Amino acid sequence: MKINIKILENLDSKIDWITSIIVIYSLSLMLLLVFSQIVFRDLFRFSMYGIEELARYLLVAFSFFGASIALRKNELVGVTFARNALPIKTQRWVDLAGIFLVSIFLMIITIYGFRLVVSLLKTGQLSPSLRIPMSIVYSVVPLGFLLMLFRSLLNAFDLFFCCSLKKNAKYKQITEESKKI
Amino acid sequence: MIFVVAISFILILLLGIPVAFVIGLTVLIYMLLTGLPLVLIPQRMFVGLDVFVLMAVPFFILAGGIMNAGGLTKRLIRFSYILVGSVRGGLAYINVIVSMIFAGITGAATADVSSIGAILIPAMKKKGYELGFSSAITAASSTIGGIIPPSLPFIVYAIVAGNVSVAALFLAGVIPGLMIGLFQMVAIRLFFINKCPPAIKHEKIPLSDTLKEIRDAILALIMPIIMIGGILSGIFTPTESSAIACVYALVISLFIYKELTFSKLQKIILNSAVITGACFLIVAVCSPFGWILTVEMIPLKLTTWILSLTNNSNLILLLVILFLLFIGTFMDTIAALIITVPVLLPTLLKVGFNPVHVAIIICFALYIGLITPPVGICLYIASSISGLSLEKISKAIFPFIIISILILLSIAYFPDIVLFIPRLFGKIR
Repeated sequence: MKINIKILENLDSKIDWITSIIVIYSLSLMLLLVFSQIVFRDLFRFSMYGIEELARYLLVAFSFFGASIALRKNELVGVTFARNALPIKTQRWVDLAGIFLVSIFLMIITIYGFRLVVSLLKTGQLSPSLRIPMSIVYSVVPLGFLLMLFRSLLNAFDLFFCCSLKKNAKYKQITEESKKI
Repeated sequence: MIFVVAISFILILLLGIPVAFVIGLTVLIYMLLTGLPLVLIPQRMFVGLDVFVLMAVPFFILAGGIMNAGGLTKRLIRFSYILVGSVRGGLAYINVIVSMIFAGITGAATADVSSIGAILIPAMKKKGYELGFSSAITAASSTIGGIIPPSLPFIVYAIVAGNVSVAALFLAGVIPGLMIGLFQMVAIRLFFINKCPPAIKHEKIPLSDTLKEIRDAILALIMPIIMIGGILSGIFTPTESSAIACVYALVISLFIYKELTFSKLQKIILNSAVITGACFLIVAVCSPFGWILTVEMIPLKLTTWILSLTNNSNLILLLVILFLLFIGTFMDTIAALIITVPVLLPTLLKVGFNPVHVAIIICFALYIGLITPPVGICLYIASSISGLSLEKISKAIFPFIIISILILLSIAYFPDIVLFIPRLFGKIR
């Protein structure tokens, strides 16, 4: 059992690392694209073709990937006052029920996201200006949600095996919410 | 059937799971009940995020992060200290003034409270200010961040509401934003001066030092002018101004102040992306949700129902404000905007309010929610910085909430306060 946890932790941190890299580079590239668009348009009166499209696709991509990191860190905001009013023991069951529902949702979106990609693959639709296959563009939805599903299951795992740790984490979560808008 | 969906929405909400998933599950339940193809959900979610204007969100958060790590915030505070540092309650005034300058650069209140609070709350404590008051004024003044342009809630509002110009909203936010700052400073002078330590006669700062501080801060000080000037003159759009803010802050931090390292920058970018991801997950699931609202004609039904009760536009506005203040106490601003605007807007427009006026009222009312317990995000940040319990800060912030509500009501019933500047620039008729 102990080894299993080790493998899981290892996988978790690896995925975290890869997702972070993807997210950092997409956001940086997006900034570069938008800024160069302004510079080229205003200084050289030259509007670059398809830049905006690419920036938008990067935005969607890093949003879903970033959300998976936020999910693992418990940084997603919920309305917790009703839950907090319950006795501690009941809270744990409510949390588990919540994670169960969330995982079902994530699973369904992942499955139907893949179906969407497959159907786009068949029609071979291309993006309006850059002519990228839309199946590739849309694949960030199922991939992002697959990551979220994995992270959500890890959260359930945490909740099940180290309940006391989670109790503190919940309070920390509120301060972490802080970073949100 | 809509009834079943609404009940399940409330039940799932009370479970305390993230709002994004509450909305997502509600959409799922609706789709399953009506037998619509589920593939619509991922497709609509993608389309909901595939919007250029949304880029302002990560960029403004990023700009705030860079400004803190790069030392721009620190210099702004030192500069303000020269202005009012020697009067009684000086640091409290500085708190408000820096919030106002900061508001002219980034568009989010939380960036404001965490960065200014991290420097000023400890400084105020050291100088002998009451801790509850210091935390409260930091949290309260941060709400200016989302009202003075550039402003994140206005951008999100414009996306949700459609056909309202972001530039007009930005201009409309100027006077309300200045009003909050001014009223807060007056409140400090009138009600809280006994919570500040008496002014100390400290040695005169030599003129050369003063000049040095000003020269140091000038690069940060001209930032709001570049931003707002650029937007108004049409050199860049409000969305693009967020990218300009990032690049400007980045260039200054890297090459002039030289306080930003590459590894720090990586962390800031990652952090901005994660915060954005958490926020955009809600935006994404709200896209199919909004579609359902339209299909079921909920806004239309609500409008008809409200108008059957009363035709008094002032009364309707008051009810809407109370409702928004209530929603704001427990819900995140962006989520609340996306859920409530499509539902409330048709009614308000129908009874004859100006779209820009309505926009400011809705955003302002929800923004007050940032400093109201039980779920006021700015309060939580101030509490985690000062180490003071939420209850104590809540007590201290109460007068500031009252001030904000009074300003909100005056904006609501004297629309010219809001509409004056956009008219001046010809953005609205």
